[in-house]
Amino acid sequence: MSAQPAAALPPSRLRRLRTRRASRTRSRSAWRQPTMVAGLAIAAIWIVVAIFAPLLAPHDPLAQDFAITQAPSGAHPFGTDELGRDVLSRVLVAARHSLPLAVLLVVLAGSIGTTLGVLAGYVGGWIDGVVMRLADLVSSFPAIVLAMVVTASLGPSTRNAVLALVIVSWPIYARVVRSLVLSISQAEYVQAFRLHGASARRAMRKEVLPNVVGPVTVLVTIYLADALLLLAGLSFLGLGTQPPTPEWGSMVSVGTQYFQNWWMATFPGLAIFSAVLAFNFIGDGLRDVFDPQSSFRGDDA
Amino acid sequence: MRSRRKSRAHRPLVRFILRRLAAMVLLVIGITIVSFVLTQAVPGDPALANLGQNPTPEAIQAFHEKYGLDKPLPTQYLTYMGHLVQGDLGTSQQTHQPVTHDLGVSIPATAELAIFSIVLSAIFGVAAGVLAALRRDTAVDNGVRVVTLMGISLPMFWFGLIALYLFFFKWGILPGGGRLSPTTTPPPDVTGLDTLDALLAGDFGAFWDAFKHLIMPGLVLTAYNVSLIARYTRSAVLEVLHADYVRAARAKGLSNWTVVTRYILRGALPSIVTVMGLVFASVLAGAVLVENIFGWPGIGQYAYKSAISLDLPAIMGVSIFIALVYVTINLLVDLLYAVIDPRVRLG
Amino acid sequence: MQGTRLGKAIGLVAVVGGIAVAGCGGSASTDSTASSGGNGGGSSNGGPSGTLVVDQSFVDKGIDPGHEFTPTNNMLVHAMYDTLVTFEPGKTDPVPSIAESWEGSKDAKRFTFKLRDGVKFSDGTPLTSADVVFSLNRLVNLQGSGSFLLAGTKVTAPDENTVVVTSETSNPALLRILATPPTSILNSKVLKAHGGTDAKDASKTDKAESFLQTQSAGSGPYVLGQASQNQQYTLKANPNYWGDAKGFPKVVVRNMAAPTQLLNVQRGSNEIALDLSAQQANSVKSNGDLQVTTDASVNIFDVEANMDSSISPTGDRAVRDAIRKALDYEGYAKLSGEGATQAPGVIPSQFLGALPQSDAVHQDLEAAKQALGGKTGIKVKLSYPSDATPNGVSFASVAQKVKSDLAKIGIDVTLDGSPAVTFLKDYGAGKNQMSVSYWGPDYPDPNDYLVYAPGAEGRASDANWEASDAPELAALGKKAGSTLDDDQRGQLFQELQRKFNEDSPYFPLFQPAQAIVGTSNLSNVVLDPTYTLNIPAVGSN
Repeated sequence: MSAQPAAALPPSRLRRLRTRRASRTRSRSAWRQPTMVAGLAIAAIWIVVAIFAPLLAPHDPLAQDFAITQAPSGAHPFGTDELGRDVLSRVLVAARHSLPLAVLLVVLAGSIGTTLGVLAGYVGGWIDGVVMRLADLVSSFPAIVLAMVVTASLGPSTRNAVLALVIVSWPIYARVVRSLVLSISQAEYVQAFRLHGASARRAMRKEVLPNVVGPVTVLVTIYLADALLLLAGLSFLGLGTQPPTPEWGSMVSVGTQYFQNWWMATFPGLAIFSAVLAFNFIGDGLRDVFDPQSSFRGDDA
Repeated sequence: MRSRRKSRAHRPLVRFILRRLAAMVLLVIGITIVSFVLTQAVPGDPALANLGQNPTPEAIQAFHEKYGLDKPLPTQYLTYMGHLVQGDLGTSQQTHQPVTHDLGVSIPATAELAIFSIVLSAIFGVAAGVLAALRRDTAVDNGVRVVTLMGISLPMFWFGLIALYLFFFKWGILPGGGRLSPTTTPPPDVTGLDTLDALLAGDFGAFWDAFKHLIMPGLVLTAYNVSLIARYTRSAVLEVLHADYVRAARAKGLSNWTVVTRYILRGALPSIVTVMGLVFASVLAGAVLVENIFGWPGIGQYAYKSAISLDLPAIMGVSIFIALVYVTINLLVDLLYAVIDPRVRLG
Repeated sequence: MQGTRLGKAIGLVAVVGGIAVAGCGGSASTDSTASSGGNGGGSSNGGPSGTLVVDQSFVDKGIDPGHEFTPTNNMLVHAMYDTLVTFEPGKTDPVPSIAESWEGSKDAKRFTFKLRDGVKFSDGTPLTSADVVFSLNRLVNLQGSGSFLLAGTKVTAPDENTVVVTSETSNPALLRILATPPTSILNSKVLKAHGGTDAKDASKTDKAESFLQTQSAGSGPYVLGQASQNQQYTLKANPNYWGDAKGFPKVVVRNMAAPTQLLNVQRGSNEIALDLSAQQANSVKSNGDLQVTTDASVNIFDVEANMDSSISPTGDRAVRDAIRKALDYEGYAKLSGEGATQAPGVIPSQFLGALPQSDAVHQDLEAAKQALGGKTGIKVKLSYPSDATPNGVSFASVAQKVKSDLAKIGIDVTLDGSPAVTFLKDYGAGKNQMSVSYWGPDYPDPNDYLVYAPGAEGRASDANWEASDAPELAALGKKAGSTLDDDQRGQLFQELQRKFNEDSPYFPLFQPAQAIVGTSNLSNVVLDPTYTLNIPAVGSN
């Protein structure tokens, strides 16, 4: 799951998928799409929660103040965990941890991937070869398997989990950017620009880069959802964020130990699901705006 | 990568395959180097993981000697590669068995799960995708869109847990884990796939038992993949929906069914084949989490256990195997693509 | 000098939650090459019929007695192999097995065993003293997990029916050690035919481990049928068993997660579940078809503090005193549920020398603050294995509770979880400031706990507790370990632990709950401190 599967595609096939697009027949406003609106709303809620979690949480997420493993009740709507902590508070405060981390992850992977992709596409030659072979190497693993080996080797921590996921996800951006750069720099207007005496560097800055930024932004939004899933998955396996920091994936993992106490795993899981769904809704809508025909995620990311 | 010229000559095909095979060898070398370097960066000592808390110095030394850990890294690497060429992946420090043996045990388990999930995903995913495309912008289309978006948003480990809680723990409808009930005599090992082996042996009781064990983990894996396929199929069908040859077929008065199956699906097939490659990849990734939850003794659990106990020979074995599968699948997809879409020139 | 430690007993397997390790037999199994002809034995002398099914969360490193040393493997090996002496189900007093009698020298350095007549291996070959010498030497020379058990001993055979085990130091625990499964007696002829050796360099030259994974070579009541490592083992009654077989003709031992075990045992007819939590076990207590026992396990969770002031603030006795008073001992036992008890000392309640509950330390936050004497700003790092949940209790949960307890007296604890494989390296090197740890006995004797005495290699060295730090305790430990009379020995070990509770690197927390649930038609469904479950003893009422 959540292994950005497109990363497994060799560049040739990525291009193939992308180039097979029919003409745009009509465009709809993203705002008219109920899913997009729902996505934005849920995401907004989570962002508010992330910012104001300490104020919203009814209890200290770390305080072991209550009777252990209580079922949901008025006092504890999500119940309490094995140490007598309020699950609701933990779910809310975890948003503060997970969301910024996912953003950090896509920003890091996005900038590294974009830089390498621009280099590969624009400079070409051996740099192109090296970057793309590296991307192939990384892509020949399921993301979670490679990330697992990396974090197991370096030791599990939030930092290493992010590091591992940056390592496995930069090729997605690099590939897309590379082919964008290739197609843009060969476009007639860029060629014309250069014929008028503009240097390669200037052409790059004035014409190529601005045209890359837009699609990469869309890509980053879409991959926020995957970043959240991957981070939670690693924490579930015990290889991500470590206690006592509340984290959704590791809360689900502890919940598996206390199987009968369904609330311990159910609510953090719902939190992951709703946040990921929100970003997928937004990504789907954005794609619609940019390309109404292939509004489906995954087909060129 | 696309050309209008048809190229049916065999030579390019052979050259293509050879080139990909060469790339595969390079890939394996790359993977072994990366794994070696990674596991060397490790702060832990596998001897401790496998011998206990305070082993005697002699025991640690014996362990290091046995697994060659006392040698310098390049020597270890060369020794490993020397054995690899002979098909020897070394001995797992965890199970004390040859890695090839462990892989031989866990691969069929994962294969059974993967095949089950992929077949289900393909059938329902393609059907839903075609339906959504044909009913574009209707409630059906939007329904498929929302459901598939939910499908790719589900944290698999959580979904599996909820399924287990309800279907096994609460209601007792389905078995809680593993591949067979203890009272069921395992069918004679032919393919390693319990369901198939049971059918081959004509043991329908064992088949039903194996099948019941397959349902929950299989469906959890399917939730993600069916969504992926449906979404790809929809856009692929939309692309060909208004193509001239489809219009022509309709104009000829062919039945809707014939148009969809003969013309539209055929046109969309290359994209569907491509997404099947993706699905295969995501099944392997999903196996890590799903097998952990359902106690499915496959390659995903093996990978997880080796990774956390820094069992280098096992990690390398799993990595090489998975990478080879990936590359092979990609190769097959490309070949298949060329076969069904003659416009494509391999290159 | 080791124990059924983290790495071995719990370390690297059962991790992602209780349901992570289920898994039952599939076709993908190591087919047994054993085709012991007419293996219909067992049910012959009026024993129970049918199949006994035992569910456990495996930690499975194979079933070669010379290599294995995990609870799962001990349980299996005990069913297929005999030892010189053995234990009755649930007991820890040595009784005759292959040796029909024995004699210990006054200084507990020399034990002479008289072998029973007519003991045969499963292939019909008679068992002789040569097999005993071979097996015990092989264990030592393999340098595997269990080799330390007989380190410093010499085994000789004056004649075909006599074996002499000599120890360099006085070792009153030797008898109990010789009842543990790693010291099982193997058929030396069969082993040698399949690459086995007891030579000094056996750790490199012995090739029998894979063979023993497909076929057993012992004299026990069962022989190996089919082995699927980490999944399922099938045992069949040994048709040539020399003793009185009371067991089932067939036994299946499966790797199952606790929640699955719960359901299986409710549906099965000859079923035993070994890993249910107290909570799960209690949920089926009213079921008349089941017998449920919830008890404290012999394993102990504890916190260990580094004694070296240059490494950790806990090198300061005031800090240790404060910590000892600050921990909410009753609360830790609750993490594990009904049946769990506070551990008054480092030796579990079931063994000789255990402290009574009246000696237990209790939480007293006021006294703790006083002990600290106004010291503030104390920061300490608490390390723990993040990937292990022995007896269903996660180290992370214990660690988080310690953090919360110590915060109450102003000690700031930073949690440092890492996989057991990483944790053990720093822990073993004595580098951790504080650790959450766990100890399961290697053999049911207080001498196994000598590793706690100052200066000992093991627990004490992990905490940098030198003999010179507490010479009188080091001497007391030595004396306790070499005392022959069990009553006296027990008292000395109690005295040692009382001193530990005054001041030492150890903060014993609790013995987790362990439940055993079986269908009510079965007999001897008892948790065994050594074998977990004494499979050959399980019969039908």
